[in-house]
Amino acid sequence: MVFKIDKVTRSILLVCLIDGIVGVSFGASAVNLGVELWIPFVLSIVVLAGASEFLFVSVLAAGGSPFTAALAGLLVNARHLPFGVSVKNEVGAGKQRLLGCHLMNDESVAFALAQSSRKERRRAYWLCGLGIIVCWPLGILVGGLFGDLITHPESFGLDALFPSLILALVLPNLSTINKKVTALFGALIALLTTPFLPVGLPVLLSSLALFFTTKRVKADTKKSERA
Amino acid sequence: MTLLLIFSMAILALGTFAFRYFGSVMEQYVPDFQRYEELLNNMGMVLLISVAAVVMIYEAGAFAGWARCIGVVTAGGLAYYRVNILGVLFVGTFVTAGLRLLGVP
Repeated sequence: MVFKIDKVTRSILLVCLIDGIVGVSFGASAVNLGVELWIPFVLSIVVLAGASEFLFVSVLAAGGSPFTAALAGLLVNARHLPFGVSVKNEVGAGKQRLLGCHLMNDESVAFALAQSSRKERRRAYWLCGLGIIVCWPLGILVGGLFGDLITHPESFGLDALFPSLILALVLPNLSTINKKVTALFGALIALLTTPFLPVGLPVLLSSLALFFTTKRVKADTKKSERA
Repeated sequence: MTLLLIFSMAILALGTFAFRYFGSVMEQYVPDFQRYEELLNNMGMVLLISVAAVVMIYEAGAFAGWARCIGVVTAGGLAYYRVNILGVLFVGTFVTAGLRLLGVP
């Protein structure tokens, strides 16, 4: 029997699988660092934002205060505020919005933004979000329990998957010269400030790029209105 | 100690949810929101690119090595020319793993 699955669904399923594999390596390394497995597992469900969970666990492993770890994690997660603005039509209304908002992460937002119609955006957002809330905690559990069996995931190049995925979803959407310049400028700000600032802040600072190019954004919009 | 730990985990979870939620309902509370909407939408895109760039180049605050950088930049190049996602991911991983096999860090 052959299932017909469209391209977007296939990509989303693949990404969920990849997140599961990243979860396995995260679970395994947390346990290796001496952090009890329930901590990354619970975080993966109630926080559901990978980078901040890595950070929380590594601060704990280094003997730091959990409170400091939480604040550092919040700084990393502040980007979800503008994400929320970007996908406000996809998260749903009423009680559904509560779950819809919780499912917001880099992948689900990027998949939603990559679709053209509102219906497709909504479907991609929810499918990716629901897939990740299943695969990510499951992967961490498997990694924590059977981590000894897994050797270095870097040797398979799996660490290149996440940044490649984000680029694959976002780059085709940089439709105007202006968006391209802004994105490039923003990335440069983040990269140049990373060695000097706490984790999370450089990414937030990258949004300053928008203020340097906003005037031109307006000019662009006018042009496209006229066309 | 466990209590502080659980309290901190709750702060991270609730705070993160608050960011997500208030972003999505912001237009109801900010007067004249439409003026900023385009800006905030583009901000999502810039933040995603920056996350990708930082994850590509740094690992725990230090340079992550050339293999990942070259792999991801190659993937990014293909993405720019709208090669499909599976192709982009495959090439990114393949180039990174291949370079490591050849001894590139």
